[in-house]
Amino acid sequence: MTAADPGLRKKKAVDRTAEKTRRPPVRLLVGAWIIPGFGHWLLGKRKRAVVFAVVISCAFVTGVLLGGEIGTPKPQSPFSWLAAFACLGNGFLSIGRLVWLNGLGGLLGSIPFGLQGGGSPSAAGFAYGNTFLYTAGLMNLLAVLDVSDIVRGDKD
Amino acid sequence: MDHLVLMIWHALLVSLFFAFLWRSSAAERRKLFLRTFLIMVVGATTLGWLMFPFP
Repeated sequence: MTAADPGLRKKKAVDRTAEKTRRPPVRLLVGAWIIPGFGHWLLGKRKRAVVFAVVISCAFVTGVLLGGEIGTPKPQSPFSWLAAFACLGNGFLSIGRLVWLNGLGGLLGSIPFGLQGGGSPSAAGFAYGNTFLYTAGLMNLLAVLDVSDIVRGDKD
Repeated sequence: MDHLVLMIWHALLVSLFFAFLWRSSAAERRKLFLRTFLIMVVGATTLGWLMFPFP
């Protein structure tokens, strides 16, 4: 069988189509990111969805109560982008907190460098709070990847 | 604010998350949860004690 063989070409085309149909819908992934646990809920993994929603929300709320700061990009501080990425993983929790702190107009007008992330560096729990916020966001991003794996059939 | 309580709370949340992410059956989840939780809590406490003499 050569590369020019029509049978082989047809098989490759069928494989590509099968791969395309298994691709997770973007709306599902965005929903899973915005609302922790929502993707699993839609896929029928209700127990896992509830646990993820509770765990991620508890970690986020703990971070805020400890005086942690929602990561926002800062000029001349490349690592702040990583913190912003981790915190943005919290979906609506993070966006809601930023709206709470900046106002909707302030949020839209201050992207990317003028955002206030709240928290107080002098607070005793500042570093711990940040850790909880980053952890919550990264856990939610892992949950989104899990949703993708389930849709692709790579995982139960 | 108790540092130990915060560490235990963090370990509990993370262990619970990974137990549900990586395992499917209840028995396996329980086993992974206990293992990761104990590794984090006992490991961090031990490291804390070992670092105690250092300035």
